[in-house]
Amino acid sequence: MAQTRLIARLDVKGPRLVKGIHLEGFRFLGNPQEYAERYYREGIDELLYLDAVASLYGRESLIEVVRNTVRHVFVPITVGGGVRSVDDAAELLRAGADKIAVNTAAVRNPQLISDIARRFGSQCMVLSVDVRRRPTTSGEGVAWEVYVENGRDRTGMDAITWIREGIKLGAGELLLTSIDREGTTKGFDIDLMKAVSQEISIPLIASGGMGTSEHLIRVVKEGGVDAVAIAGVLHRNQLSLSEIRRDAVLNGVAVRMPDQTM
Amino acid sequence: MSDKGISIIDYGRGNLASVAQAVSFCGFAHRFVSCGAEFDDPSHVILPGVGAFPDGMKSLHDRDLVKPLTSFMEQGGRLLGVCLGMQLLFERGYEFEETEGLGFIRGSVRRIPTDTTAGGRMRKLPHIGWSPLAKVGLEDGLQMQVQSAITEQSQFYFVHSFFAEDVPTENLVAVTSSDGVTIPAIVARNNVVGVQFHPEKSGAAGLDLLRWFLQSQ
Repeated sequence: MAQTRLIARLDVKGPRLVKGIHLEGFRFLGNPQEYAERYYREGIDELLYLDAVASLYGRESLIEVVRNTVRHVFVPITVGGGVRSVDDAAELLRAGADKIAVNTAAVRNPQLISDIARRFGSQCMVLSVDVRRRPTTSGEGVAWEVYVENGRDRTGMDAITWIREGIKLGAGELLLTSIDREGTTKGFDIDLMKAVSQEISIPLIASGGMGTSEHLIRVVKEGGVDAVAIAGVLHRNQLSLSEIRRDAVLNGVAVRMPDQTM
Repeated sequence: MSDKGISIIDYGRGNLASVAQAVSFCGFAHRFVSCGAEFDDPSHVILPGVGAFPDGMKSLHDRDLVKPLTSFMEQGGRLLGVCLGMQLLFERGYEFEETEGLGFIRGSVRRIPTDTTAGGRMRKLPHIGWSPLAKVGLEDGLQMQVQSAITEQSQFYFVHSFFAEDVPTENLVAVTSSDGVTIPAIVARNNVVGVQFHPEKSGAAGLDLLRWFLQSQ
């Protein structure tokens, strides 16, 4: 069984780490680089920096955060939030990012996915999709709608339809966030992850809802995801990475056990 | 230690910043070489790279880097090829169209097959994630030296869709397996080492390997 990757998600506003619920109402938590370095020392598999504000001012701070992080942290870093062009992606890669996450701009201009994938490779192009549950037209089952602008604007688009298109255009990985679950610590949207993982042939990162190790175990075993993004519970020290790893391994979910020396 | 210095090849492919940061963190100075004219008798060369094989080779040709790199390697120069940089060391690649590589190590680079795995599930590409390595071969010399720089408990970060095939056993140092496919992870010939994973992104284990290379005489 392939190892499930543990990814620390750090939402950044200006130079500060923040955390919200349902992608809004942010609380300031501190210096993102310090958190990133701590997670690196504790054996995190990857880091994910998302600019929660995605304004021009926000990008300069984000670039600085990335630049400072890569001086001491030697695991893959995905960066996103307000990436609107190939040049934006290039700038973040030059600062030290390994992969670029694109959300709103991809929906507005799907060609951007191919442009980034062609220029930097599919493995650099992470499609980030935020969704909320909605009733189906038939009234049976469940469907999900794509939201953009950090969860603020509805698009009316079906999530799976959009995801299929994004993959065709060259996305190499999918970061899928349930807005309904985000920040609640009540568990992932398993139905969502299961429905999507069955459809796609690129790695799937589940985001939104991690509260306990049990949630992670379920989303891997039932949801079929390849990686799990963890935010609040780590930032607030409610769960440690070593606890999560131990619980995972004791319950049949393979995860990387990092080297002792760091 | 020679003071001729460490050169990192900048051929416009891949995240140079990460490699440079890791080299600095290991305590070594470095310079970037972006064309043949700048290639000036380094003690060690790192050939990084992310992206497509034909595109990578074209860039090396356009920058007049193929001859200097090939001579350097043939004359026993110490070179570390990373990810695409490792793949370019081989004879040819089959990404988009058949393209000739640097030809320093025998073998070809092909797409990881996406037929169904044993479990009936489609293999996902790119191959992304951490994997441990299995040391192979019992050769003396460089193979053993490289193997001494890694442990079988350490894991390294892979992100790629293509892999090397038909590599002669004497050039194979370590492999990993992903979903039923055996992937050459470390290859070597003369004083040239190629790694499919990213040592600059593999935490302490990766830095240890990088340090081993940079210190090698």
